[in-house]
Amino acid sequence: MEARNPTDTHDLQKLVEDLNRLGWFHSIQLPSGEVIAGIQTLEQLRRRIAQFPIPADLTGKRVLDIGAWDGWFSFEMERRGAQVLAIDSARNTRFLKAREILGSKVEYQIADICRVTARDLGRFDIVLFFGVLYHLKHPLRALETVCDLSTGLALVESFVTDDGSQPAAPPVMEFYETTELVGQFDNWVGPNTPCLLAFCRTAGFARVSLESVIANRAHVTCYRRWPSGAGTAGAPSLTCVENSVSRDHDFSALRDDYVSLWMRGPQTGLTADNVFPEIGPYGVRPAEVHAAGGDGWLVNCKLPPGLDPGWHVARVRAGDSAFSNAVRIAVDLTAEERRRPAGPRAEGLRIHSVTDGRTWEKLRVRAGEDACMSMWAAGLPESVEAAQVTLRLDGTDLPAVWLSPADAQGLRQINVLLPVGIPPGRARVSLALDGAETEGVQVDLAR
Amino acid sequence: MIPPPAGQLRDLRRRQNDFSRELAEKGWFHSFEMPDGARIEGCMSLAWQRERWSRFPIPADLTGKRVLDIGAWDGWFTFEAERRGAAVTSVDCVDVPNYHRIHQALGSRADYRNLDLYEIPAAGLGRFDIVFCLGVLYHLKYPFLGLEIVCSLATEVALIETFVIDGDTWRERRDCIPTLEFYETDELNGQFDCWFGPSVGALMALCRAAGFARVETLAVDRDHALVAGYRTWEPEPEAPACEPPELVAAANVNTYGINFSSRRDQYVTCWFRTPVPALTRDQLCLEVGRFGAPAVHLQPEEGAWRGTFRIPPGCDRGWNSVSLRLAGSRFSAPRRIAIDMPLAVESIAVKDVADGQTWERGRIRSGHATCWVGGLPENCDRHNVRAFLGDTPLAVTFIGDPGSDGCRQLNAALPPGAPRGEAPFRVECGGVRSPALPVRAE
Repeated sequence: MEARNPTDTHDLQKLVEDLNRLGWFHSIQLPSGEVIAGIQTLEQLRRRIAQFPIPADLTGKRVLDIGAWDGWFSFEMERRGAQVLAIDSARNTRFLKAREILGSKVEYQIADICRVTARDLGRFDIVLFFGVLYHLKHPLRALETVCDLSTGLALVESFVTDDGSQPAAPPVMEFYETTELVGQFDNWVGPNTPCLLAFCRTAGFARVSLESVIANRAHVTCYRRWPSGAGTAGAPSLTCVENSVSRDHDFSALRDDYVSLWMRGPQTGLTADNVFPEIGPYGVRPAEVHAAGGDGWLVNCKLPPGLDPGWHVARVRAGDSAFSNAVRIAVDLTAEERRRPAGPRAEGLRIHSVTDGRTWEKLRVRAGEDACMSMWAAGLPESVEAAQVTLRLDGTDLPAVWLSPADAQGLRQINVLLPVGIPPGRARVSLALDGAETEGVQVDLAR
Repeated sequence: MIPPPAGQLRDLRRRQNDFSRELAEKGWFHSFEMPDGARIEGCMSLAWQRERWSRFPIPADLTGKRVLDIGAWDGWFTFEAERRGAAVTSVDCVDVPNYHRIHQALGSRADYRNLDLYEIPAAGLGRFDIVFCLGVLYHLKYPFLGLEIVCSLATEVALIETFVIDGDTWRERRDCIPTLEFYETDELNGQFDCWFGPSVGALMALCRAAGFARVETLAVDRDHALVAGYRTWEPEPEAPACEPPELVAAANVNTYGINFSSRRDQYVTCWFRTPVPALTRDQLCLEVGRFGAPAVHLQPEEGAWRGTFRIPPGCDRGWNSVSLRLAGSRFSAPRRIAIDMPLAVESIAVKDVADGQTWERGRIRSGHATCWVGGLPENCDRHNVRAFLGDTPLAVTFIGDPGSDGCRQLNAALPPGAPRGEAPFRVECGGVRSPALPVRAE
C-alpha cells in the first residue's frame, strides 16, 4: 500500500473506526484498499458468489439484488459492469454509507419481495436471491415472483436443513413457528435441498441446477431458457394447445395457469426430463408428461411467469428433436382484442368454406367433446406442409392435423381439433400460413 | 345418477383425488338424504359426514350465524349448516353441477361463488362467525397464506380438515420440528394438484402462526386431521388461581409506538408484571379488540416480563383495547393501540423547553430535553412525533398523556456530536410543524 501523509491516514483511520461502529455483516473494501471488516470476510463473500456461473463481464445487463443488506453483492455486480437495483425490506444505513463511499450508482429501494411485481421494478437479466427465502412465510410465492422478475438467470442461495447429499430424499420443509431456527424470530421455513430444488422448478424456471451445498447453504442456478440449439431428429407436432383446467384458449399470467400441449411424435419414453416446451421467450419444465395413446403425448406445464399481455408462440422439442410447429396463444388479451386481426395479411390465400369436421354443416361447428373443424382453402401451394398451416379461432392457433392435396378446383382441405372447453358462441376463423393471415369468417360454435 | 361428463372428470380428479375411481362410478363425493327420503350415495357416507359434524365445536342451532364453506364441493356441509339456521356462503374454485342440483332441490338460499381461496378477501363477502375449510389445505400452493386468509375471515372459529403425513404417529412426534412434505407433481395419490402434506404439528403451528388464538385437534386418523382454530380465548376462570398480570405497556415491536398497520404483519410487545414464577409463553393470553393472540416470544426484562404477540388478523380500524391474562387469571386492565388510524393534526405548539434533568428553561446541558406540546393527536407516539434542534433530529424517548391544558410532556435526547449553541427547537407530527422556540444547547 502506498504511503500516505499523516492527515490522510488519520482521516481514513477515523472513517474506518466510525464505519466499524456501524456493525457490518458484509465486509466492504474501500477505494483506498482499506477493508471494513464485516462478520463475513471478503473471502467468504467471494466464495459465495463464486458458487454461481455469473459472467465476469456484465456490461449491458440489468441485475436485481433482493435482500441486498450491506450491499457487497450489488457492488460486485456493478463492478462487473451491470446496472444494478438493490432492494431490501428495511432501510439499511450501512448500504447507503457504502454506496456513497464507493461512489456507486446502484439504485436502492425499500420493497418487500412478497409484494412487488415486475410492474413495480421492471425485469432483470439476472436476479440474486441470497439468504432471503427462509425468512419468508410464503416461499413458493416469492420464488414465483423471482421467476417473473428474471429473464435470464435467478441465483438462489438459501438455508437448507441437509447437506445436499441425498437428492432423491422426499422434499420436506420445516416450519418455524417462533425462534426454533438459530433463536431468530424472522426465520419461517427450512427446506431440505430436494424441496428447494422442487420449489425452484415449480416456480416456473426451465432448468434448475444445484451448484453446491456448503454449511447448510444451498446454491441453485435457475435458468429461464433451455440451452440454445435444437436437434435434428424428427420434430413432434403440436395438435392442440389449451388451458389445462378450463380447457379453452384463455391464458393469464396473473393466475397460476397451466398449459396443456397435445402433441404427436416419433419419440418414445418421454418424461418431464426430455421434453422441452417453450412459450414466448421462456422455456418451462413440464409438470407432467403422459402417453396419450398411439404416438400422442400430453405435456402439462406452467404458463411461464413474466409473459406480457399479447400473442406468444408455443413450441416444443423432445429429446434431440428439431422444434415442433409454432402455435400462437393469447395471454391476458380480451376476447375483443383476440378477435382483431394481428399480423400481416396473407396474399393470394382465400377461405372457400368452413364446416364442422364431422357433420360437414357449414359455418356451424359443434363445440365440446371431440370437436373438430374443416376448412377448404384456395391458393395454398402444393409445397406447403401441414406444419406450416394453422386455422385461427379468434386469433389463437389451431394447428392443422391434416392437409389434403389440392382437389380439382385447386382447394386444399385443412382439419383441426378444438379444445373441449371452447365456449359456444360466435367466433372468427381465419387461415394462417407462416404467420400471415387471411380475412376471417364468422362461425357459430354450438353446444 | 349421471356420471359427470369426461371433460369435467379431470377437473373433479384434480379436486378430490383420493376417491377418483369411486367418484367416477358414483358421480357424487358427498352423500345426501333428501327431504322426500331419497338418498344419494357418494364417496363419503352420510354416517361419516354426520360423525364429522358432531365433532364441530359449534351450537346445534346456528340461527343468526354467518357460515362460510370454502371448498364446498357437492355442498353437504353448506346445506347442513343452512338446515340449522345459518346464512351460508359457499365457495369453490370450480363450478360443481351437483351443488346446483341439491341447491335447487332444497330451495336453498346459500350464496354460491366460484373463487380461488386467495380471491375471497377481495370479493367483499364480509366476515363469518364460522368458517369451514375442509379438504382444501393440501391443495394449496401457499398453505400458510391460505390459513391467514381463513383466519382473517373468521370471527369465532374455523374448522380445518386436511391430509396429514403423520396421523398415526403424531403424538410421539410432538417434540419434533413441524414439517411439510412438498409434492412437486403427482406424488400424493397420483394427482398433480396436491402441493403440501403437513405433519399434525405443522398444521397446529401454521394455524397458530396464521393468527388463531388457540388451536385444538378434534379428530386425527392416519391420513387426516380435523382441527378447530378459535379466534378468542376460553372464558376467564370463575375462580382465578392467581391475580391478573399488571400490563405496564403495549407497543409496536418495531417502532415502540402505539400505531399499527393491518396491511403488514405487525407484532405488539407487552411489558407486564406478575408474581407467577417460571412463566412460559403458552400461559399468556393476549386479547386485542375482540380477538385473542398467542405469544410468539417471552423473556424476562428488568424485573418484569416482555411478551411479543402478532396483531390478530381482522382487527377493527381505530382504537383497540389490549389486555393480557394468564391461563389461570382474569384479564389485566386494558391498554390501547391504534390500528390504521390516520394522524389528524391541525397545528402544534411547543410550550417551554427545558433541560431534561435540571428543568432549567431554554437550556439543554444534560443532552436531554423536556418540553410540553399542545395540538398533538390522540394517537401520537414516539415514532410519529419528531423533534428537531435546528436541523438535527432528536430521539424522542417519551410522550406523556395530555394534561388539563391538553399539552403532553415530550422527552428527547440529543444525538452524540449534535451541534452546540443557540438553535430553533420544533416538533413535527403528521406533516405539521410547530413554530420554533429558541433553545441553547451546551
